[in-house]
Amino acid sequence: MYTVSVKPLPFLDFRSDTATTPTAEMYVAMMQSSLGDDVYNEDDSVKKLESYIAGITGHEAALFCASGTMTNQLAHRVHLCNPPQSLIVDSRSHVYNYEASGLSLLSQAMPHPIMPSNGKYLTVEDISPRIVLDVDVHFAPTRVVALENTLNGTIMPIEEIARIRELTKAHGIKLHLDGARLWNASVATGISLKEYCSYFDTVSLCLSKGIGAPIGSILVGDKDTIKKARHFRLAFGGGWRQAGFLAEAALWGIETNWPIMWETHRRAKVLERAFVQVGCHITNPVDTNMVWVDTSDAGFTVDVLKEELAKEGIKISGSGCATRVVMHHQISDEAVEKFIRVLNRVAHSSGVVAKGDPVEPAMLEDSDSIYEDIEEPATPTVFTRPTTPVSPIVGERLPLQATKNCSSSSLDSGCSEAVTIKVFSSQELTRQHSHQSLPEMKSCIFEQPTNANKGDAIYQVIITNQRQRRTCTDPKEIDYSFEQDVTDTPRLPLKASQSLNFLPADKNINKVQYQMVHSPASSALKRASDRLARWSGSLLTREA
Amino acid sequence: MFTIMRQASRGDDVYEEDDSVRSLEARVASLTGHEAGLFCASGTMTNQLAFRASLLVPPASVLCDSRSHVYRYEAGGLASHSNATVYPVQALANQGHHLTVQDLEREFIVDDGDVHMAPTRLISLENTLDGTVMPLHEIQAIHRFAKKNNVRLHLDGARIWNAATAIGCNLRELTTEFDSVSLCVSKGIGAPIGSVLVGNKDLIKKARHFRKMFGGGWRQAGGLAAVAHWCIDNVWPTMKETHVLAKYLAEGLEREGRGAKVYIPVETNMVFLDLSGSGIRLSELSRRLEEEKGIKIGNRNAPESQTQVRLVLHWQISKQDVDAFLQVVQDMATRASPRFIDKSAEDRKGKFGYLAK
Repeated sequence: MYTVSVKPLPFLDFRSDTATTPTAEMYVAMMQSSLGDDVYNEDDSVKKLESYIAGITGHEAALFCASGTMTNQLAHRVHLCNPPQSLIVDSRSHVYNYEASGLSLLSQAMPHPIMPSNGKYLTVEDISPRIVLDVDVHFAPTRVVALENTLNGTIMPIEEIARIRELTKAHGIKLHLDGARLWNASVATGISLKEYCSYFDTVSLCLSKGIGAPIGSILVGDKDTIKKARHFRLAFGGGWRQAGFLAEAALWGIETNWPIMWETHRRAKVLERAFVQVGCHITNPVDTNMVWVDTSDAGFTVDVLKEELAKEGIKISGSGCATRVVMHHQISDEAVEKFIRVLNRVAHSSGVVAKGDPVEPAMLEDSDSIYEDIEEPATPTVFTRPTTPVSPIVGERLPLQATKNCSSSSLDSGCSEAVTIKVFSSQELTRQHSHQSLPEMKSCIFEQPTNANKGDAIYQVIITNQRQRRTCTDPKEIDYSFEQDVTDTPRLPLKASQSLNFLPADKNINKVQYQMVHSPASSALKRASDRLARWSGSLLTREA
Repeated sequence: MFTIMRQASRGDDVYEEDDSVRSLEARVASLTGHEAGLFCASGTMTNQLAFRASLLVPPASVLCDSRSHVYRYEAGGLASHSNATVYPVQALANQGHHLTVQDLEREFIVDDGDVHMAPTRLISLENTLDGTVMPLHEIQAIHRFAKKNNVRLHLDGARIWNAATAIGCNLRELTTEFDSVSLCVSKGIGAPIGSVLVGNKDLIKKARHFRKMFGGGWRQAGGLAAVAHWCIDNVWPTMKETHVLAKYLAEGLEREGRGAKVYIPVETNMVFLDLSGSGIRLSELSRRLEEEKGIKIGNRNAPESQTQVRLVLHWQISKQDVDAFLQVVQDMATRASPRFIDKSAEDRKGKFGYLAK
């Protein structure tokens, strides 16, 4: 008799949110399923799931498949029906890199990968010059543009999606979204799935990641597309029989795990803070549930960290100096605390040599407090101009030409020659520039333009949240100081038990009001109003 | 079965970390005498993966029976996934019961360097095909032929479990001579989903890569594998009774049907019925079976000219269901007979009683 063992559940698996497993309650829901045959389209549970997802995404029909790869490949197979053909895709995307060249083999299309110029998401300016028109026998015309949201955990703004939609409509090109983690994007931004999906011809949503079902992914689109996709699904071998219980698991997961996804994002932020305090760089903005870490300046390698974590039972992926940590709903706060304890232990162990400046005692404090005291170190170090841009910790990188928070009057286009130094709120920046006592800072970033002229450099400091710009020519006289605005947002809503000891005592602050302003509800409201302001602002500046 | 699913392991099958799936793959591989196995979502997937992993260098052609599943019912996958052409072979020897070496020799394309041709690289057999069993000696003969010509041999063994039960031999004897075998656990074996591909280690490794590409890289499939284990233990032994029941149904149909014929010999669990001699209309039979007894045979909207239907039995059909079926057939056959006198309508007869029907 073959025995099967119940391995421990993935509470300590930080490698990917695909590790989410079914729970006892989910099995109870699965038992209520129907037992029809899905190849003949006779299963009620599967049809219920498909019509539900079609409804919440605002599309006509849906198709339940075994994996996200399958839904992506099916969508492309249906759209790419007229070779010779090509498609435009982000060079970091899943469909291009991690689907074993399915686009070429199954759909006979040439992918044209584009690395976004802003480093975060594709824009119309990236895509428009790369569209291939059907004018010459040498060319393979573009038939599809494939976007991904979230990509590597970062969210693509909906305004850009709308602009890309206009562009593809003008050329008669299809627009597909790999929305495997669109659920996370929707929770983080507050934009509904229906709004996101309204811009696309087909969307692929994954049910086995954050939603927590064991298997499955779903493709939505219009009736004819889904009918054709169903045909290809059988050809690809995805024509499964009694899949009703898998559909019930997915429905249960959507009801139960989707509303608590914001907790996952919060835990990702906590982990991010822990990595930063230990000296690592975060190479991608932590918008949702992924933390991309570079440990090259922290003095330890990911292999060492992996070993130490494995002793506690925690699994992570990566090697050398790069790793990706993914949170999901089955990782609890205790697991995160365990992770952070091991991380701190690894970073401060005796065998490890820190490459950067020595660690300050302030960094070892409890990660709960939002504001850290910044102490002046004993020995001032010589200022060196940063040769590489320092990664942003919280907030966006604003390119010089299109800063949204700065009014146009305070920035001239003629300052592209200058060396821009935007000062940012982080402990490592204070370490690097510790010759000056930097007060608590907010919302500024270091950035170096590509054509900086070393001979006659102009240094300018842009304080983005106060829309100020100061220029000077001598690096030693750069004035970083500015007014601390305490009532500006801490990025995370306050916990109920959190004391307000971090607020400066000399300023007259109404603590009750402060708590009200920074409660989770008001943070959500602020996010929503920010988004509205940004959207209406972009409406005004949009080209006719 | 849900209880078993609940207790199964919950590892991720894309990383090959799930115990249940790995043990199922190992078990089926050892049952069939092969090195490794791959658990997939459907029989179409295992067949297509076997072809895709075997036919790596086009131009290539494949020989298979003209009635086979891979040729007719896999949506042209052989051509579109593996870029191979298919020569469907008519089984002419043995009154078309199964494919023989003579049939294959007739259609075989030799690799003699002719640039017009797509040389044969793979022969695909199916056992059982339309419910009929290919005998062991024929398999061995075809195996020798394939070896001599250096082509691969694939078995679509979706119902190989039925074949082994019918012959009374080990599964291994029927499968060990093939380079790759596809076995289905979602048919007679009774699991909800799944099919297993077995072959040597390199083939399975390649097939796993293609499986991910086709979208078959599923995650926590442990529950499905655990159920398949249970079914192989508990449902496979019941296949003998299913075959006996199929024979019983066939005999009953010929007896009650008054001209209905079973036109393919019943060797396993399929009964191919031809109603043309009996006067029973297929659409009428289907409707009555569904409404009166809850039995589904499809073909509710069959046209007048269609008289042939395939009936498939499985472990969840009992003798009472078969008896109910036969009862309806008997009733319809008597009504359809020209000598039938509808006694219930006699009261309605008036002066011209002999005209009323």
